[in-house]
Amino acid sequence: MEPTTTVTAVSTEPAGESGQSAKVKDWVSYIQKDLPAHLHWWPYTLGAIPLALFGLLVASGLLLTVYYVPSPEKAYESVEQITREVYLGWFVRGVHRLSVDLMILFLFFHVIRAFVTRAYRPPGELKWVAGALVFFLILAMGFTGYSLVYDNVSYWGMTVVTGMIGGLPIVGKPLLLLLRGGEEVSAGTLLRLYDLHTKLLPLLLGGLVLGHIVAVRLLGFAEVEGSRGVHPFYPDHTLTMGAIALALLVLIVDLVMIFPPTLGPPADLQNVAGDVSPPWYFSAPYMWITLLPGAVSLWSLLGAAGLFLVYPYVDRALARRGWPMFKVNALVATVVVLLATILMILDEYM
Amino acid sequence: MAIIHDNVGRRRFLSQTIMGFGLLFGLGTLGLRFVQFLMPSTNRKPYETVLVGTDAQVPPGEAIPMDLAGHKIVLLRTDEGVMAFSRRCTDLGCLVSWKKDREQFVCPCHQGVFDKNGRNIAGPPPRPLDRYEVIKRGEQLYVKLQNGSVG
Amino acid sequence: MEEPTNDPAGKPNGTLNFTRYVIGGLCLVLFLALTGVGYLKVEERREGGLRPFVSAENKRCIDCHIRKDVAIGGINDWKISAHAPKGIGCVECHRAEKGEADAYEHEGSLISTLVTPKDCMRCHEKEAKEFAKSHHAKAAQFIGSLDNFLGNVVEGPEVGATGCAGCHGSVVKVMENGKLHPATWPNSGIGRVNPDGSKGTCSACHARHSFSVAQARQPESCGRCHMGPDHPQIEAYYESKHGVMFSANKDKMKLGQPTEKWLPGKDYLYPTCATCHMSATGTQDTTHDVGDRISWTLRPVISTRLENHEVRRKAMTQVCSSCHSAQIVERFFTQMDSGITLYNEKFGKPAKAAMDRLRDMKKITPTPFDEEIEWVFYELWHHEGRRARHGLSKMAPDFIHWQGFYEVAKHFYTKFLPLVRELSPDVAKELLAQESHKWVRQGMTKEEIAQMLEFYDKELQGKRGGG
Repeated sequence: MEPTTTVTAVSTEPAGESGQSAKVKDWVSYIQKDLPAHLHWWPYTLGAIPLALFGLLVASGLLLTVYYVPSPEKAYESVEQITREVYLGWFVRGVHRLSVDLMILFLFFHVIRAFVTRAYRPPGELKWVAGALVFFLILAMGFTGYSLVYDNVSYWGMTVVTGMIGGLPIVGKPLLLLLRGGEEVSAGTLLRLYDLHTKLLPLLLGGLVLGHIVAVRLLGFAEVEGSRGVHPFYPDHTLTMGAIALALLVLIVDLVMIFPPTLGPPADLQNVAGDVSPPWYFSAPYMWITLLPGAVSLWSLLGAAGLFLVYPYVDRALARRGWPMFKVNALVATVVVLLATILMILDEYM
Repeated sequence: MAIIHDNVGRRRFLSQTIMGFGLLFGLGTLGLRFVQFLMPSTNRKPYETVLVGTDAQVPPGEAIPMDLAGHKIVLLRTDEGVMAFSRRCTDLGCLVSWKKDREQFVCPCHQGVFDKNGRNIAGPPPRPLDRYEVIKRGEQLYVKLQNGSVG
Repeated sequence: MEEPTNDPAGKPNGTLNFTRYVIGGLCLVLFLALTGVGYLKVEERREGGLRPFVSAENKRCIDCHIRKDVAIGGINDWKISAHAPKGIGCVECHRAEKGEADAYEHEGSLISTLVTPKDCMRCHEKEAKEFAKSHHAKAAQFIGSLDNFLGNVVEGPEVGATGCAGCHGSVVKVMENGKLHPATWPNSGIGRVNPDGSKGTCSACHARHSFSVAQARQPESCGRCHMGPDHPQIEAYYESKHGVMFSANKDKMKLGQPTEKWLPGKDYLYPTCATCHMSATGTQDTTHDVGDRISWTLRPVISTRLENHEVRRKAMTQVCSSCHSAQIVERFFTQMDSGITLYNEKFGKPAKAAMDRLRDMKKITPTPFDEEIEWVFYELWHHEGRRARHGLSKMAPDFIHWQGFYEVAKHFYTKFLPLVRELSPDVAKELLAQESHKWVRQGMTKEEIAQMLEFYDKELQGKRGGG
C-alpha cells in the first residue's frame, strides 16, 4: 500500500491541534490509495452497489432469522407471520427481497461492464476469478434463500434443482444426497438449505467478496482510455460510494413501501403446479433447460459457467493470437444479453 | 478547542456536521425500525370463545385436559364451579398433572403442588395456576382464549 | 480570503463538501421515508379465528386415511368446514364410549361410524333440542301407516329401506360386530332412528363433512325430499315469484353469512325455504323446529289447523313482514286459507265421508290398495289434493290449478264418482250433495249457456270454445 503525503498537506488546522487529527491521519493512511479518475465514471461505480446491498442483506437476513422457523410445518406460516403479523415484518422482508433483486441486477451490469472493458487484463486475472466465484455463490444464495419460503415455487424449485444436480455424472448422486439430506426432498432438505443460506454460504461469500476487493486493491486497475489523473480513496471515493449507498437505501425503502412483499400459495405436495417458475434471475437458464433436451442443456450451462470462470486466461490466449478482444467481448456480451432477454420474455409468456 | 478561522475549514466543518446529523437521523431511524421489528408484540389479540363441552361432562374429582390451538388447559370442577386452569406451572412453565387421589395438581419439574382450586400450596410456584375465563350458556361451557400462538 | 484549497491530486474541497451535503440530504429523505414506514399498514391477516388446528389424535386418523387412500373425500371436505379451524375433527365427533350400541374398535380407538344428534348436541344443544321436538324427527315413525304398507308390502321391503327410508329415515340396526346393517345404512333420512335412541341426523340438511350453513340454506337441501307428485314444495317454490327472484339473484344472497348477518329484507331480499320456515329475522331467533311457523297441516286427507295455530301464523306473518307490507301479507293468507278450505269442503270431506261409508257398508275390503277405488281416493288427497294445497301455500298458480285443483276435480268427477256410484248410488248422491257440485247434477242453466255463447260470439268472432 502506497503511503501518501497528501493527507497532511490538506490540514490547515493550527499546530496545537495535532493530537486527534494525527490519529485520524494514521488509520487513513492504511486504507488510502490513489485511484484513477475513471473510477468516478458511473459504469465503474456499479460494483459498489452490490457491496452496499450485501451489507443490507446481511442485516435484514439476520433480523429475519429471529422469526423464521426452518421446519416444513412452520416455515410458510412463519413467513406469513413475518409478512403480516410482526410489526414492520413486511418491511424487513421486503428490504431483503428487493435487495436481492437489485443486487443481482446490478451485479449483472457490473459483470457486463467488467467484461466489456476487459478489466481482467493481466495482472488482474484473479480479480475476475474471485468475482466469478462471488457471482456463483450469490446465485446459490438466491436459490437457497427462496427455498426457505416453502411456497409452491420453493418446494418444486428445491425438488427440480436438486434433481438436476443429481443428474450430474459421478458427483451428482452424492451431491443430491448431501443437499437433500436423503433420497427425497424432506424436512432435512429444508434444514440443510437453511444452514447453507445462513451459515456456510454467507461466510464463504463474505470471504470471497473480501478477496475480490483485496484483489482489486492489490492488483490495481486496468488502463482505461481517457482516464487522466488520480484521486484519493479517502475521502473522495468513500464519500461518493457512501452517497450512492444511501441513495440506494432511500430507493429501496420507497420501493418496499410501494410494493410490499407478497406470498404465493403454500407448497402443495400433491400437485406439481404447472405454472411455477423460478425468480427472474433464474428465468433464462430455466427456459434454456426447458427448451433444450436434458443432457445438452445441463452440459452447455456447466460449460458456459466454466468458460466464464477462466475467461481471463482464454482472453489472454486469444489476444496473443491477435484477436480483437474488445470487439469480441462486445459481441459476446450483446449476444448473451439478447439471448437471456429473449429467454426471460419467453418464460413470461409460456 | 481551537478556533478555525478559514473558509475552507468552516465549510468542511459545516458539511461534515450536516452529513453527521443526517447519518445519525437517517441510519438511526433505520436502526430503530430494525429494533422495533425485533421486539415481540404484546398486543391484546382478539379473544375467541371456544366450545369445550357441557357442564355434565366435567364430573367432580375429574380434571379434563385439552389442547386448544396450543393452549394446554384442564377443566376442573372447583368450589366455584367449573374452571379452566392453564397447565403451565407458574414456577417455570412445565405442564402440571392432576392427581385424582390427592386432589392436587403436581408439577414434575420441581415438585410444585397446587390444590384443587389451583392455589399454590407447596414447592417453588410463586402464585396460583393461571385461569382462562369459562363462560356458561345454558348447559354448555365455553373457554375464552386469545388468538394467535401460545402465550 | 484564501482560495479554496484542493486536496492535492483530489477533487476540490467544494466537491467533497457538496457530496457531504448530498449525503446529508439523502439521509433526510431516508429519515422521512422510514418514518412513513412505521405508519404503513400492509394487508391485514385473514380475519380472526384460531389457527387451523389438528390435534395429535386427529392427525393420526387423517394421516392413516390419506396413506391408505380411504374416504379422503370426507377429510378434504372437513378441511373447509367451520369445524376444522376450531380443532373439531374426527375424534371429537366419532368417538364412542364403551357400552354404546354402535361402538367398535378401530386402530386402537373406540369409535362409531354414526354421528347422531346426540353427538352433535354436545355443542349444538339448542338446535338438537328444537329438532328433536319437530315433525322432522318423527319422520321415520310411519311404521304401521298406510304409506308404510304401500312401500313395504305393496311395493317391496327393499323399497321401504331405500325409497321411503331415504327421506324419512331408517331404523338403524347394529350387527354383532358393531358394524351397521346394510338394509338400514347408509341412510341420512331426516327421521332416522339411531341406535343411541336419538332421532334424525343433522347431516340430512347440513351435508357432511363440510356441514356448510350456506349449503343448508339452499332450497335444494330441502328439495331433496320436499319434492315430487305428492308434495311439490320445491317445484312450487321455483314457480313462485320468490323462487324466480332467488334464481336470478343467487350471487347476492350471501348464503354463508352468520345468523346475525343474514336477515331477510336487510342482508338479502329473496327468501329460501329456510328463510320462512327456520331462519332468524329481525325479531325471531333461528328455529330448528320446522313446524314452528306453520299453522295448517297440508298432509292429511283433510287439512286441519295445528295446535297454537294463531301463534304460528303470527310467527310466519312476521317473517313475511320483514320484506312486505301488512296489506300484501294479510291478503295472501286470506287467499291461501280460502283455497285450502275449498279443497276441504268441496272435495276432501265429501270424498272421505264416502270412503268411510263404503267401508262401513263393507263395499270395500279392509285391505288397502287392493281395489281401484282405493288408489283413486289415495291419489286424490295424497297427490293432486296436496299439490293444490302446496301450490296455494307458495302462490304457485300452475300447481294450484293445472297440477292441483284441475286434477282433483277431474279425478273426483270422472274417476272417483263413477267408482262410488258403481258400489253404491246412495253414497254417490251424498257425495254430490253440496251446492258446489250442483253443476254436475243439474248441468248449466239455459241462461248460463246463452251467456257463454254470447261471450264467444262477441269476443272471439263466433269461434266456439275448443275450435
